[in-house]
Amino acid sequence: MNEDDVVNSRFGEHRFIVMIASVVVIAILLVSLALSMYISSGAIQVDLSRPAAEEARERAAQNTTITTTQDFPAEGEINADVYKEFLKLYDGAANQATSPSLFAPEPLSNSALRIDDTQ
Amino acid sequence: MQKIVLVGVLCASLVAAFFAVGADAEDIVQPTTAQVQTIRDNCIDISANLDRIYANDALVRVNQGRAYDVLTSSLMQPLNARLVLNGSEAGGLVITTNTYQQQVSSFRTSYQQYERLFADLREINCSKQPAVFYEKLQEVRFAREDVRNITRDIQQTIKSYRAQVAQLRKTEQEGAQ
Repeated sequence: MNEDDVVNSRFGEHRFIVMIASVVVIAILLVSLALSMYISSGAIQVDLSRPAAEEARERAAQNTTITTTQDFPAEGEINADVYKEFLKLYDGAANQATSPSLFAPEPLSNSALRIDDTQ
Repeated sequence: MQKIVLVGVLCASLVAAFFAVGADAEDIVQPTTAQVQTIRDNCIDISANLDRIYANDALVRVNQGRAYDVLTSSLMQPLNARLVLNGSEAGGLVITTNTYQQQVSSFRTSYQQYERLFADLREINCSKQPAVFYEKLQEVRFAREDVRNITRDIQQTIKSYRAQVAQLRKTEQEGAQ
């Protein structure tokens, strides 16, 4: 029995373990890649199923103000009535997208967090 | 002469850009002794408040993203396509739609930056590192201000698109009479 035969027979003995180890390593690499893409793409920030977003999830369940906007047909004639119909849909959707208090600075102000210098 | 003016404008832009980038770092102030003590004393309340704001912002971000997407995919793009199919003038609306999409993309990026800074802030133990906490809080405020400014730009573009459509409608009505 030469050296190659010895190596082959040892590999043969442990090939199941080697296969399992390889599968685990490949799985870890793929999961790491997927997680890094999940974080870098920003998907993590809109994923309310995370344990850290429990409070947001509860609020989202209570929030029923968002309504589905009907799609405007991309085909058809153009006249004043069509514009009127479009503007009606547009105003409804625009109301949901615009709010003057979005990301207002007040919640993070010193007074809101009660870290005023005067205290 | 024109070259000198051009170089001058370029230099001025570079200097302005340099100061604009550095402005946030310069604006960060150290907390006073009283503030440090207040942060240390109220650490639990402050952390609870931040958790609430963080959760609320996550929800706002999801809802805003959805609302912004609906405007383009369900309304702006179909109308633009319909106008093009009918041979009507849609150039202005297409440009506004592109601007809007770029702004929404900027919103996503700036919110991502804001969320990361906020997450870092929540990791800081405010009772042990009140000064570090306060400095990070200010960074979060600047990032939040960036997000707010972009949402305002988006709102302006939404209004602009509407005004353009209203103008087209008016032109169509006048043409029909």
